Amino acid sequence: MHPTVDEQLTGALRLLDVLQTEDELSPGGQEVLTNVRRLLGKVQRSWAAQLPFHTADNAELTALLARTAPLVDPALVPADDGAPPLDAVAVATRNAQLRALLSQVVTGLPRTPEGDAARAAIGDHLRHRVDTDPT
Amino acid sequence: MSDESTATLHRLQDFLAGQEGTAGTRIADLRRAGAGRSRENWLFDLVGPGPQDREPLILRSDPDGGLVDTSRAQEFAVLRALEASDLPTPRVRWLDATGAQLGSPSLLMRREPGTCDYRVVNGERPEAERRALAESFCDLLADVHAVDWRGLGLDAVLPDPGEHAARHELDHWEQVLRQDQLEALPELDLAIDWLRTRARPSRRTVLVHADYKPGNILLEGDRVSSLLDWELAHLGDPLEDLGWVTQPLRAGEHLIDGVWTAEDLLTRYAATTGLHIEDDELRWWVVFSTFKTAVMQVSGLRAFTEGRSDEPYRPTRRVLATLLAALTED
Repeated sequence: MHPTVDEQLTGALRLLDVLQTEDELSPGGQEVLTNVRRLLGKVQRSWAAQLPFHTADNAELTALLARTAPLVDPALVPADDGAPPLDAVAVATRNAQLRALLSQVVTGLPRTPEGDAARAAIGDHLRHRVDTDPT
Repeated sequence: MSDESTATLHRLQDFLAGQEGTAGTRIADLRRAGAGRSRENWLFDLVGPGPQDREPLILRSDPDGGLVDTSRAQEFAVLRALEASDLPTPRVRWLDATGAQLGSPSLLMRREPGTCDYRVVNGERPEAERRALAESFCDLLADVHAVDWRGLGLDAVLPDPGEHAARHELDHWEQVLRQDQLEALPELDLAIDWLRTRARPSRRTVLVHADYKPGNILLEGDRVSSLLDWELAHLGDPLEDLGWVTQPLRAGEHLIDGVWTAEDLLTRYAATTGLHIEDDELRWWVVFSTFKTAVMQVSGLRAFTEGRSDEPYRPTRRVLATLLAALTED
């Protein structure tokens, strides 16, 4: 079990701290190091939350598309999810596919009261997603 | 001297040797400028031929990757045309439009005195001084918009979108998005849908700076010595710059809480220019400015993932949340 993913990321960040105190590091080198730290910090804060987030978002997107896609093209309603539920990469890929369908729906919605209601529902979904996205 | 500095020095020496008026000069104090976000900048002095001759210069070159992809030749032509105006702009000296000699498309211009501080209106200075600076920045923006662009021949360099400035800019930045996006971004598609249905004809066509901010203004004390970074400048609607400076994402750079509000800025601008601005009209450009910021982050992300940039840009939660809040507030 050890080192865990968290332990490895914490260790990598600690080693970068050691490097950052080196006197001979150029300003350019310091900047690169800061960027590496930012990236690793993001991964550390988000990796464990990604699978549950994508799983929940896929369910919400599927329901949203079922309601809104028929206004544009029934073919944009997603087929059943075949992604293995514990495969993080497959679930994330499914998320990207569903978001691509949502983009197509947004682009094609009619200028009608139903279309405007769909826009509002999509806006609500996206606001919630941005607020809860751990990545 | 690093290998990179030596290579830049040699390229500069070879380039300058072929330019008029450089006989008997030499390059001194060559160094890389602080990390510019979209350009690679080098500072140096051109010394000679007389014993007292010393011209401070800056070399602005295209990096491999950045937030925006613009033309050095166009920036050079805009700055050259503006030399005949009263605007405080840097004097351009030479251009390598293709990068054949300097490694990448580059322009050389005079290094003007002063310093940039992007947080100056919310910095350490006394409040009255900060407000006066904010007012002078507002007046300078009005001066930019008052430039006689036809008289200066800028319409030979920049396309005139006429009253369709809003659609023209939206089309341009949508094209950048399509070119650079790595995945579907329904947040930005929803913004495009909103913007496309609400675009209004512009009432005036002016020279738009398009990245107007204190971080691009050189100050000597409380005097503006130069307005920099004209790479995004174009002809368009004056509300574009006003939307850029009043958007929530940039409030900390342009406004002072309770002292210099967006309303103060717009009132002063209207008094100077006679252009009275309707809320709805400005809102479009505020939303557009946030959309444009997101697209620039998308471009930065592509540059990073392709190894052309070391800055790990991405469309941030703050930008996307601000954009969606603006779209859905009615």
